Amino acid sequence: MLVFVAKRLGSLAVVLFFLTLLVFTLGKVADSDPVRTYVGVNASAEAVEAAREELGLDNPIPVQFGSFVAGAVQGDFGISLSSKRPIADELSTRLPATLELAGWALALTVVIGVSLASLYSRPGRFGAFMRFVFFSAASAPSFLIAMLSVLVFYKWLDGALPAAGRSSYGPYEDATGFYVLDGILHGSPTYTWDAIQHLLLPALAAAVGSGVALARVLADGISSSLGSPWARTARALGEREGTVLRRHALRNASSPALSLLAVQAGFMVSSLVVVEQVFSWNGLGSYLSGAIGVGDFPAIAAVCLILGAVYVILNTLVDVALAAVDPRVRLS
Amino acid sequence: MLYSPRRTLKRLERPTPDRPDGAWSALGMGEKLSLIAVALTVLIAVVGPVLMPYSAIIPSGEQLLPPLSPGHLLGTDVLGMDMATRLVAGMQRSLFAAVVVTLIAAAIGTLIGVVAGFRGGWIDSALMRFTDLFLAFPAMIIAMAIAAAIGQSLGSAMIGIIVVWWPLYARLVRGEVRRVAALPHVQAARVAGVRGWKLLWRHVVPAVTPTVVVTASLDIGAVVMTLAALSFIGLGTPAPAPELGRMASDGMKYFLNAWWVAVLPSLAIGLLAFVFNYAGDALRVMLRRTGV
Amino acid sequence: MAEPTVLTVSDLTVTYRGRGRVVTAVQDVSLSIAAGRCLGLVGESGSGKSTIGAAVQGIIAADGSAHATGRIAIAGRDLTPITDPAWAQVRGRDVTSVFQDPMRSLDPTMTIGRMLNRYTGSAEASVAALERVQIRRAGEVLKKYPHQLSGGMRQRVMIALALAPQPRLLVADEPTTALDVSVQAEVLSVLREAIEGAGCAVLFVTHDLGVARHMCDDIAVMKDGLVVETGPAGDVIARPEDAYTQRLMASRITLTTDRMRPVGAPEPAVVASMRDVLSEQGRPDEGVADAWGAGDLEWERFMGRTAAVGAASGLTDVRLVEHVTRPSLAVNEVDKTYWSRVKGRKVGNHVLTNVSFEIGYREAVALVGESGSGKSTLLRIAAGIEKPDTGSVDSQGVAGEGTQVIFQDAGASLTPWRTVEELLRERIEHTTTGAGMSRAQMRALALSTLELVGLDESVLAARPTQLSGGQQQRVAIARAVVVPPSVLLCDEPTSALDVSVACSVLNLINLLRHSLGISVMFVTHDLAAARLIADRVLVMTGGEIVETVGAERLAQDITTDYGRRLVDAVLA
Repeated sequence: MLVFVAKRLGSLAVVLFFLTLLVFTLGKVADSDPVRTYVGVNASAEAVEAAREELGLDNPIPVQFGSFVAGAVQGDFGISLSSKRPIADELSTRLPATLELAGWALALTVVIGVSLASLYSRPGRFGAFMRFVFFSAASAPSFLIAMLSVLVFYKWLDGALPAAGRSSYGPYEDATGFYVLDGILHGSPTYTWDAIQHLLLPALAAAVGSGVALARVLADGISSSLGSPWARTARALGEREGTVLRRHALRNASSPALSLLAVQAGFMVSSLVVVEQVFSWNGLGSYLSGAIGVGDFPAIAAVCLILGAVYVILNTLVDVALAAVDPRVRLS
Repeated sequence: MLYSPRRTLKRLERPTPDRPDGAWSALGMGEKLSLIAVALTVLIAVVGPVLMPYSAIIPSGEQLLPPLSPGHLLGTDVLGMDMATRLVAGMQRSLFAAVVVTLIAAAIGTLIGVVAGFRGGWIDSALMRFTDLFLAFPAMIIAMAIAAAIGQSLGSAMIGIIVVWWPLYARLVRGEVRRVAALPHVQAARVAGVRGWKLLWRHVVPAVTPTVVVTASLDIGAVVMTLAALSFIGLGTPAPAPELGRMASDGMKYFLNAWWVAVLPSLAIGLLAFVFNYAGDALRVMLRRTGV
Repeated sequence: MAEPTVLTVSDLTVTYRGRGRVVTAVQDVSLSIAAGRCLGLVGESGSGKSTIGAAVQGIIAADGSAHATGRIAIAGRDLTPITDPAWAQVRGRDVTSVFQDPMRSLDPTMTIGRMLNRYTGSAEASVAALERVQIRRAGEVLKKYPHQLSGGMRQRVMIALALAPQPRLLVADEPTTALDVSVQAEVLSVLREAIEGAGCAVLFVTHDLGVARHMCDDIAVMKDGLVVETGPAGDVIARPEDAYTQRLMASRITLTTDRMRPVGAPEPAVVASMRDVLSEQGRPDEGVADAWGAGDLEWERFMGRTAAVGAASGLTDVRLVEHVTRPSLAVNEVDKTYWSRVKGRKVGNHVLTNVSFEIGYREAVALVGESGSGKSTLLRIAAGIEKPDTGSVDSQGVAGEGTQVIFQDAGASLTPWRTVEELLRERIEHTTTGAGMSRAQMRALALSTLELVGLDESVLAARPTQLSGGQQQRVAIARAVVVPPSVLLCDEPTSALDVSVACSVLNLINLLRHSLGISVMFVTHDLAAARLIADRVLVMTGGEIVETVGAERLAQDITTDYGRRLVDAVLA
């Protein structure tokens, strides 16, 4: 097991290195000129030269990459071309916002997946209808779900749930940036409840698609487990169907579901970016789409690196978890 | 008499034709419907834009007319362009882009997978190391970064998706090729003297093709949605191009007053994705049942 | 004083409904077993024996796809087949079972201990249960996962699991079919002792008459859903009364079966091929079937000439010859090691160590060994599918062209989407004989070979998926001999087949071998089948040939310990 973990950590480092290299390379080949974006189209030649030096673009490319990596490791992603402030400062409040939303969305995904799995493989008309509904949900882009939920809960139900922002009150001083946690830490039920209300719709919009996908994999896994020879053995030993499901099938279906969850986490990133935009959620996603709008590639690169690192680390954790659940993974 | 004469015996042992009525009759009701829906959607997307009375990029009426207005069945947008026309044009664009992306990604992946799986040795390990690296990357983020680096257009979004999509096919095909190449029938063909590309083409590839086709058809829906998401966050061709994701995000500005400008393009994307997801799944079930 | 009856099946009929067809799997079957007795249910595949096994455990799914009439009584409790709610109380208490597939019949995510403790109640009881099935170091085995155990160990665990609830009836459904022969013998004796200790009644489902005789007190023979004969094991085997049972008995191959003549009862397909061979050789004979039935048909009668190719002599034409001195296959000092990584370290598995042997012209040699002995690797090397690490293989005999293989699973060895004609043509194209032949000539050659194995031209355009299992088997043989090879390599061609089909395949191979004058290398785990085909038997274990024995008096002449173990494992 230790060997397995060490190996996974090694490949984690390799992937992170290549991820950084890729993002850096993309920045070099990007079709906009960073200096011009920085100083504006009408700047003088001296101003351009000064900016080139300020941004470190006069160094040879390997040196630039070296300082890019060194900076990224210390959490320094350079200067935003549009706001001219350090990117790290701008992201410091936005990262917790996105992580909080992502955490809730992932939790909702699991809730949706597990609770709908049993509806998926029902026989007959009802099952066919449920599959139709699930396919619809899985095919709906997350911004459609976001829009519809805003229409229903905000417009038609007259503001039953808030449809924009993270809180009605604003952040506490020297807080963690996770609003629900902040509310609890400061002992304010009103603040906490308000933050949860703001979280509900965006998290739901980001979770529906992956939740339905999870339900499907769980249902497939369970039904193939129930048809397997060892399930027959359990039945022949007198186990009731419920026991076969609980003791054997769920356990065997959980490892494909876990790997799917890791994949879904990757796709959820795009939903998050989209959903943040719809709900004016002040996270990395809305920052990213803003940066895309003005062609601020260093900012884009920073967000991609951070989200990418979170994803890769998450995947490693899931792999380790899989090895713990299923002995065959560990030994192969 | 214990045994029949030779002729009788041989007549008794004639091969039975399989599936005399063709594959269509093997389908269930839902599967037939889904294939018809795909045909209809493709038809609308292909010939629809020609039939529409307005231009997709020129204002043709009052601004922000709600759906069911006279002359504008689905209303108009903030510039007064006909929504129905723009939706049909947008579906054509999405569908075309998704099919192209899927085809190119599948072609690259299949090529790499076949070469890796069939040649084996260091070529295999080198290609698969490369593929695994791409698979370990967060796909959506890389696609965004690539598209952002190339510039805001549908083409750059397509390139971004192709770059992250082919490794899935490479892995899949490589695994299938290796599995099939170890099957007795391939070994038997090898023993009979068939070698090299002939062996690959005649005895291995036909077994891999259905898997690739089914995966590709299942992927079209997913690619439609991914392209739309990239377009929505600003990585598509800007207005007035009739691009559904972009139309939806631009429409968000007037969302609470004129919901249809944002919701209708989103629904169109959902419809495309749904039709292809459902039909792809039907195809998968069908192939599994007929045992190809 | 007679023991009480544990299982009574009366007038059981089971039908399956699916895809618009109704299939009767079991028809009007009545059986009974007393406590402490073992009833063998013997039949070929599709005879309905496994359906009965499933019915008396109540594990046929009650989802409407199966329908049953009749009664089943277990330990005095009367039950309606399939639908009775009381099955839930019977199953796992009064009836338990051991299944065929020990690889997959245990939950892969659970340790043996976790599984077993649930039924024994405590770890100590589990250890005792494992010791009852003669597992040493039971404490360690309890901590292991199923995939860490060998097939034989897994099946012992299955037996321990099945006996843990102290059932009144044990159903054993082909419990040793998937195991190696010597492991089979061990597991059977373990099972036998464990059953005697437990005193329960046993329903033993098997296709293997030898196993049934070894295990059972009584035997019921099934065919097409009907029980055709019942009686004490000794009587049924020694004096079968029903015609089907008689044929089944005749198809049995033992270490004393006559090697000079066709085995089993005369069979139409093989008889047809024999007539073809004789008329091709210019001496037609309509009386072969009668001669076979009367026992005076010898293989010698079909002896024909060999197609010689100048591959080794340097000539390019193809001629028919009577005799050749050059060996057909020479294997010299072959070594083979497979490398794999275990915990990051390279580990070598020496599959073959310094293996040398020759197969002469018209000679048949059998390689006998269990799984892991290296015999299959040797066959693959001889066939040119794999390369040896060191050493050489020479299959450029003067007689015939190269090597051809008949694979274990004939159906799977035919590419499903190619037609039979294309498959045969592929072999013809790549030989000296076929070089320069036109399409029509190749077609004619393919057709005459298909007729030789009892098929006709309707098969030419068919794809393998359209053919029955028997037809596929014969197409595979036809492809191997359409251009006679120097050596015909047979990879366990009979091990997956029912006895009667296996018989006809063995007869066909013997017929082709004599009439085409080819050499045969026959790889098998079954000494009896090996002896029937081969003149010499090479015994392999651990990647080495440990003994070479003449086939005729195999059982007497074999000397090594390992060889003796194989002989003892032949249950006749």
